[in-house]
Amino acid sequence: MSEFISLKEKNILVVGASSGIGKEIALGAAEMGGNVTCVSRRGKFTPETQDYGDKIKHTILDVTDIVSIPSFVASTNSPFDGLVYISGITGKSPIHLLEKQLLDNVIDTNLNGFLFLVKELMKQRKFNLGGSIVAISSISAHVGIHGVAPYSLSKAALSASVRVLAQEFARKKIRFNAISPAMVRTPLFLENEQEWLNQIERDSYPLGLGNPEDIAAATIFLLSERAHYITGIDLIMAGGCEWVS
Amino acid sequence: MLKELFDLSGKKILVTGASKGIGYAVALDLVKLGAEVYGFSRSEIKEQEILTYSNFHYIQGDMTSEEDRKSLLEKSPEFYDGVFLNAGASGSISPFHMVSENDLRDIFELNFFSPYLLLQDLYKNKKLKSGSSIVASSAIAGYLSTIATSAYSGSKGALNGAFRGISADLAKRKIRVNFVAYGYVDTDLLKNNNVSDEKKLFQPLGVPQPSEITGGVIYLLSQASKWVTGSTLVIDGGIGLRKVPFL
Repeated sequence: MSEFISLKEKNILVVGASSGIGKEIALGAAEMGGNVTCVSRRGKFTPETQDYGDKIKHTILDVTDIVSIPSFVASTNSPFDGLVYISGITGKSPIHLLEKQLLDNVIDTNLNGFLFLVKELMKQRKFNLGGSIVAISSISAHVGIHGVAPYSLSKAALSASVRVLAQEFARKKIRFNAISPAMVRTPLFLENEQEWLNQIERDSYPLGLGNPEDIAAATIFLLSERAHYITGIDLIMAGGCEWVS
Repeated sequence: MLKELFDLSGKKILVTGASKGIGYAVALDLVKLGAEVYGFSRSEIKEQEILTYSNFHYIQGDMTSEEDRKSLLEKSPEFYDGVFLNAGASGSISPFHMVSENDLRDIFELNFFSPYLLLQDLYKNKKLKSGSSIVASSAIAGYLSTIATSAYSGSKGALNGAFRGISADLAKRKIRVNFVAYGYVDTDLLKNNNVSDEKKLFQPLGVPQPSEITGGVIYLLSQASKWVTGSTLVIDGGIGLRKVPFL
């Protein structure tokens, strides 16, 4: 029997990998045989795990510190076949409480870090032809959600950037895709938020809230050769949530 | 473990339009991955590689015939884990004023009414397991239309709208309904419509063979996509990005 997906011998860079969805993607890529470089501000998984220890390497980088990106890219050894960008902060902010500093932080983390990483990887030829880039966007890039203008606009810009870059790099057979999930149950939610989450799940999600593994599975598929004619897409993942469709 | 989510071994999958093109390529990949594949098609499958696999079950019939759809149900297993509603055609590509009523009704019969009614038959006869996945073949033409494609684009657009509605109806039963939307693929549909090499260059990643673009359907049929319903997976080599004339 043949195997559906493999990332064997592929070098995958996962940015924003310390917990939640990013951690699941990093572990999934390693499970599929990839050599994974995890990048986060903390430089390690929280909580710690030794799974696939020999396949996963951790590095510290603050993506909002744009001037440090060129030297970070220069310090990486071999070129990458895959990049996954998950770094994101929510920056909840109803418009009457909006502050420039918060808006800048959200855009720096959710968007600018991605753009400058891609720029440096390409400029320094650290990304292989035929490679695949996946940006984790959000359903809020597509629908209006109360109180999250900075987050939504940063994710919409991320999704738009993916479409543009898919065009720019098609000649080099480098694919760019986005994934836009609705609400995913990640470890970032606090104990006292669980009842609120359960209520949302019962009211609006016939297939339940998402699990990090769902986003990881879609990401691994898009990274793989199995998706090698897919570029410029923005995959909506929403568990049947009605206000999305 | 992600590998288990992608595993389709032993899963019972129905593929319509399984005799050639994308349907055949997907069915062949599925049998190689260990699935029990039920292939339904109007034109007979003979002397093809897929017949050498014991986990391939061939059912001949015409999707547009009520009688054949009934016979398909009788020859089906107790339930399916997945259905790929792939059968379809472009019909004759002609400008608006030259589309005959018969052509229009025929293309809707094949691309819209028969997959709709087949899925309804399967559902009413409890052939769709809870947790099963339906994948319908849409097309970029379903939402990006150009000259002379009104009949084809209309039928695919109707399919898109109706099946999104079905996805909402079936979500509570944990049955998922998604689309794949292809750009140019090297199939009879392209040859029959004499798509020029010049036009094919519009597709940034080139024009794939059917066997190269089966992954999307397999992802959507598998549990790896268990949180995805009502979505369209575009597999078009980037052609849709530029909204270029299609077909």
